[in-house]
Amino acid sequence: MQNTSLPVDIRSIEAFLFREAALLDEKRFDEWLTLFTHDCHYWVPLSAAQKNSRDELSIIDDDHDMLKVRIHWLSHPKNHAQAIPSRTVHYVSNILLLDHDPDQGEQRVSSALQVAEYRDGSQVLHAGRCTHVLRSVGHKLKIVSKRIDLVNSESFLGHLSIPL
Amino acid sequence: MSNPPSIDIERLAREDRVHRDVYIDDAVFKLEMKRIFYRAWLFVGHESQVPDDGCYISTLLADQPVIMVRHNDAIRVLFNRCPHRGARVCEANSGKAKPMRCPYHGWVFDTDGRFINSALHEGYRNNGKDSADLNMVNVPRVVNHRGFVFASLDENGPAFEQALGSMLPAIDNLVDRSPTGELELVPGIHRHICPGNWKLQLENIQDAAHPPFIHAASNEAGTKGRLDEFSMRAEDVMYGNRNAGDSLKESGLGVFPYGHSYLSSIPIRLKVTPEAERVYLESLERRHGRKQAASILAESRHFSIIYPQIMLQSHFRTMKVLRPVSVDKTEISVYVFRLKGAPNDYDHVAVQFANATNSPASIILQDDLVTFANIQQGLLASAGDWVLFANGRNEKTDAMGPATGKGFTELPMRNQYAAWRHYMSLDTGSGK
Repeated sequence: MQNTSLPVDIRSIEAFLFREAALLDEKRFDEWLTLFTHDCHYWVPLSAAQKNSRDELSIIDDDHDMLKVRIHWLSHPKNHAQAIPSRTVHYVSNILLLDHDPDQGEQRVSSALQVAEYRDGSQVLHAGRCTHVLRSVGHKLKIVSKRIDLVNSESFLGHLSIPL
Repeated sequence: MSNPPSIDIERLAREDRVHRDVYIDDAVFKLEMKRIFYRAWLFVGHESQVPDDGCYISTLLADQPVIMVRHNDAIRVLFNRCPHRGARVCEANSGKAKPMRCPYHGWVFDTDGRFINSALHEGYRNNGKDSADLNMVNVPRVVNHRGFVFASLDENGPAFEQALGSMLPAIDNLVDRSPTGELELVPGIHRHICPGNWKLQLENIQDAAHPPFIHAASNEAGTKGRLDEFSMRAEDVMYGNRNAGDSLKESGLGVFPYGHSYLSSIPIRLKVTPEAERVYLESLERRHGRKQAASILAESRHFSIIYPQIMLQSHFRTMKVLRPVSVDKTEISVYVFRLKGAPNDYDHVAVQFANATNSPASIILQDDLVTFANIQQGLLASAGDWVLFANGRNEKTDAMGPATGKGFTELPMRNQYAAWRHYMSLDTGSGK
């Protein structure tokens, strides 16, 4: 078990994020789930600059189990919200390495995320700032946490089926 | 087809069916705004949103911009409209302003709407103009029931006790669950769009027959045994919803005049640690005594509809409030309450439950939301004019309740339309 590690370079991190985006656009949700650690946190806050998800409401506040349930629902044949499936493209840009914790082997990465979603006659653009914490596990990168601060998180939203 | 300006209420809403025009006709919608939403008692906000003198929130009652503001310890509700040139005096969603100053020309008002001063003296102060015209207008009727602020836009509508008295126990039960008898809002309000007519939401909430069909995917996704291990909240929510269908067949519901109804218990419990439960129970018994505390916790109003606007779950400290935007679009706001004096565990589970059931990303709610859009589109078909609510019709119902029912009855819907007929048939007294 490594106690210290060198930070992963920006190009490898970009490649990882682009691959994550592609998995989502291709609806390979089971594979997408394998990118997350078992202690992961997938969080879409409700309020701007929200501090925590225990005491305040969130749009999504999933641990690994709940994320599993969500994906199971998403692909379920009796799902109504995706009976007419969405088509998406995830744009990941403005990627910055924020900091690196060599003891944990973790890096915090900031990016701008836009997801264009077309479903049943209407096209929606979801947009926000994304913060990943990535952990080096062996030679692979895994997602410890993914936080998406949507610019319109406090507005009246339509139903949000697709993983951001 | 409807025939503006005269709309035949009795033709549109019969005993066991309603005409599709009530969901798709813009003229009916406009009349509903005038005769129901401009007259009924509407929830404005909770007093904890305006903790200090001068604190305000800006909100909409139906389509009317108002502010709820604390004025010397009392809560006032004012139309958010400067008497000068019509700008909203409070531009932000919330804040603290004492006095309040209009952003356009700086007119100054006290927090009860009373005009204090302006920089423009000529034409307003010295020309014999009645200075009462310079005050912001108060919403005609406001009641603060244990922290829940209600208002009616019509000074002539039914009295608060008369209209809502039957449902106040549901609010009281929620407040009484706090060991100090006080509530506070959890930070954040879930907001989502119901892509359908406002009445579809009310007709869905106490509809016992749809969960096995609409919620099949989330029920099965949440089934223990399909996944390796369950976190507490996933199990709670999905298990409860899956079993709701079974227990709802047996559970009872009650309806009251003015369109209200409640559904009794379903098997979802928000689990806290045994220690937290012990501490909570002790503090509740200290306040109410053992017998009364047990009675409060056993209260079986699982889901209450306070027509036309509120859906309240006292057990889960969750309150949904709807606002019709147009004939085919409704905004839903979901408030979650903290029980002051209860261990933090109680807040945490309420937050988790609200996220799982009322977020726009809720895997339960989403299947309902697309169903509303589905119905709204299906009703455009001219293949049949009627929407049917005949299930359980053998039960005794008066025109305006009260009555009880069981299982898959569509009694709550019939009760809502009895209130609808009542409101829609009364001429608007205030001329709004």
